[in-house]
Amino acid sequence: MFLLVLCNSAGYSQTITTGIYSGVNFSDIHGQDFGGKWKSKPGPVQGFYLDLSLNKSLGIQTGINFSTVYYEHIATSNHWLYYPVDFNIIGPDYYYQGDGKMDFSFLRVPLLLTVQVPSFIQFNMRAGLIFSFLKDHSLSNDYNYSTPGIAKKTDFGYMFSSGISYPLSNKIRATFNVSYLTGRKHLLESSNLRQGSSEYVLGIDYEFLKKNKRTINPGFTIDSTSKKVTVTYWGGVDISWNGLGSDKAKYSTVAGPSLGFSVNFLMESGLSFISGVSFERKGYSMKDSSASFFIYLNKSTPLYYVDTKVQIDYAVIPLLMSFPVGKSQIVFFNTGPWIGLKLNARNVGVAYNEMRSESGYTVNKTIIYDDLERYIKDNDIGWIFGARVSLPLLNRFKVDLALRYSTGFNNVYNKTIVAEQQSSSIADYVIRNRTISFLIGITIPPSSH
Amino acid sequence: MRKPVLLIVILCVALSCDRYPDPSVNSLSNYSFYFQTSPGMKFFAGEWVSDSVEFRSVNNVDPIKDTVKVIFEIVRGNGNITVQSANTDKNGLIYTGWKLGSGSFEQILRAKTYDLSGKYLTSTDLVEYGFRNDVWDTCSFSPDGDMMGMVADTVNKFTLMINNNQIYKQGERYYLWEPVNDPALVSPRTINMDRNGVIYVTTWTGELVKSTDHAVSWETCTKPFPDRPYFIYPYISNDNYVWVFAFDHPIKFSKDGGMTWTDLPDGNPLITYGFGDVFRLKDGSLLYHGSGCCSLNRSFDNGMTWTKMETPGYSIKLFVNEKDEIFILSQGAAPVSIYKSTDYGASYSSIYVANPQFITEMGTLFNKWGNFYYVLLPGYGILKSFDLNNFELYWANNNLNNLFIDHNGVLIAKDWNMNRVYYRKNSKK
Repeated sequence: MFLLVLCNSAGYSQTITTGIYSGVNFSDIHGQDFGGKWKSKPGPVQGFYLDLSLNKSLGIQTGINFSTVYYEHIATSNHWLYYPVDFNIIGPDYYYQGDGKMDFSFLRVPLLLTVQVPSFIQFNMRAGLIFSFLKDHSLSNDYNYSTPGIAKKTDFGYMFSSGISYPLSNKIRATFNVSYLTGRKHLLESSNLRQGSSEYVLGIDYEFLKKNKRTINPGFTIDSTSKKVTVTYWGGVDISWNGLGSDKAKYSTVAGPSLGFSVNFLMESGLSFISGVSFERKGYSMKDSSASFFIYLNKSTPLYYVDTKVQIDYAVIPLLMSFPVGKSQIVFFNTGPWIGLKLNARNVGVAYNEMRSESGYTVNKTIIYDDLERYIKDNDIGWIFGARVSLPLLNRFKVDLALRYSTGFNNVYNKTIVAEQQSSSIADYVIRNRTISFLIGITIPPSSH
Repeated sequence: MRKPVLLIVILCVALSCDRYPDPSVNSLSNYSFYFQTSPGMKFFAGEWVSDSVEFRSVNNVDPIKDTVKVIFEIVRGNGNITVQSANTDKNGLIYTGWKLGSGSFEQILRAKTYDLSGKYLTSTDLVEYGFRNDVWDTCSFSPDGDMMGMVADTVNKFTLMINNNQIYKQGERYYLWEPVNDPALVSPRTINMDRNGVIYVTTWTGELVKSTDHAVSWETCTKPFPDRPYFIYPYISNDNYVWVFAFDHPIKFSKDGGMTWTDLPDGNPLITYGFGDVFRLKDGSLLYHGSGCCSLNRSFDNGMTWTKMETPGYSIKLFVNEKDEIFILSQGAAPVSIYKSTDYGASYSSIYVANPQFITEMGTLFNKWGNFYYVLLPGYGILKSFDLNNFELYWANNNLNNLFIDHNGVLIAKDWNMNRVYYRKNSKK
């Protein structure tokens, strides 16, 4: 942010932009204790906003957002057992989870700080608070809420947004934004569940109080700012595993997507600072006989043959320094810390168990989709080592190939929650994020902005 | 060039994304197995349970594919089977004959099932019981498991048993029991028989009921304690007198089969000793010992007055045989001793010393079958004696609490565990 302010220190007249948008949200509930699948359901979203730009890069945005979020819970396949299987029946948070639906209609007021990368196709990021006022809701009685029917009337939470805008005329731009919202209050009394959704919206901006055409139409000007700040769009694959100390042989790697962007601030002598946001799926897989679906545990029964993946979704913010190797400006070495904000955590896969008794023989196949969100800590930090090859393409673009290794410093397994509910054999478990990323990126040259 | 790069990126992301179905449980394989032949049946060892014991397999997932391979084997009892191995038929059935052996009382036939690829599925047991000769067979069945009393009429060839609230008559086989129901037999509690074969039953409400026609019909006698709605303690002495005891009531006897009652006079010492055994000696005197310690008394005036007699140690039980020999079970220096007197209690000699696991209230200790006495010492075991001078430890079992002998000489010992009883039929009389 500081670098952006520095990069946009030229004189600038304030602009007020207003816009309307409409789109779809996909529900993404948070705070599930354990078990079951919350389906991502679509719902409508529309609204308008008012943006006050403080300079070429920074601004403040607010507005009104109307949205309805639909949730649907599919009970875990073994809800008659205790999840994980070693669950202590005296645990304070256990209650029967059946199938169920609920929906909430909100009027929301965001208050966001906006960051824009000036270009022809303008790239922007927003982050801040969002205040929600419940207008209507409905709950089915199938899901066993501790205190059914009592929904919180207000909520506040965080909102992260990113998008692009394309100029249609001097004052009108078409926009596409992706947002991620998460509530902080429990949506129901005596429930750990919190609101959450991602929004995909199309809109139209109209800019007024716009006095200087040159400052708002940089597409035809290559200024120093555009040369110093570039944006790279990344996509690729994360190969992740659990860096725990014991029973390593029982666990394996899992592949997940990595998708995001980075902003490259060019400094002296080819040195650059890189930050951005990416969606990354970390985790590990397990394939063995175990009494638990996500931890190797062969000390209790029933034993399952388990083939599962633990998937932990993070919004990862890297803070990297990039050093060129040699003078070619083609090969770079990157290193620096990363911060991961957990978005979701789940256990998916399949388990088989064979049961024999005097009166029968049964082989059951269990399709597993269990939310593990509260078992995984909300964030992680670590360090990234990487190498990047940046190749020119058609004299205007650059194609970036990157290989990164990231390690997490923390045990992200939430022992506090687990110790309340599980036997010590479960509570002693450790999850440490380890990831190798294979990424391909495209850097849009200043001339294309 | 931009499009191929974008395509590669999209492809990479798409390949690393995955969609998962909703949680569910499906049975890939599900069989039910069971013997259609009833389990828990009772036979004599060596008998056929059936020449076609029926075993069934049901494929609950794919009923068309019911067939499994079954291997039968005798797990316990050393019996014989006619079919060792075969596949189930189109109805999932397979049959084998099973003849019980004599290796154990509980006998087990096992069916091991395999699918047609040879994969072991499970094992299913069929348990039946074979009563054997000359060994004790341990039974935990109902109603005989909680047997509380028995009378055996060797003249008229029948045996009656009482458990907690019901009288049963022994069936064609000594381990089979059929309930005896009669309007007069409401809540029966005890059963006894006099030397003439008259059967007396007392009830939980203090009634005395008798049968003079070998349990064909029953009649209610005069209630000995009309004001008492609770149970009483009866005793039938060897002179066919009926004695009744009840807390806080005078001791009574009836010499006419419970029609009229005679109270022992107030102030007689027996009232302090309570329920006990009474024997008529050949000289016409009565000998009594209560359930309390050291309470041997003798009466020469048909119970009107009593004289206390000294006994060795702390006497707790009395028995008098047909020769008027007096046997006293006593606690003393040794844990438990049996003393014998041939001079009406003037002197005693110790004839057996035992160390039982526990001392408890004692029921019928001396039983005679044929030429032998079988003496039960609770918490110790069963002694066998021809002359009541020399004893052999017939069965050491410190869990025994009572012993009965049916009209065919089958020994039935009751365990301290209220649900367990032991049968022994001796092949030699």
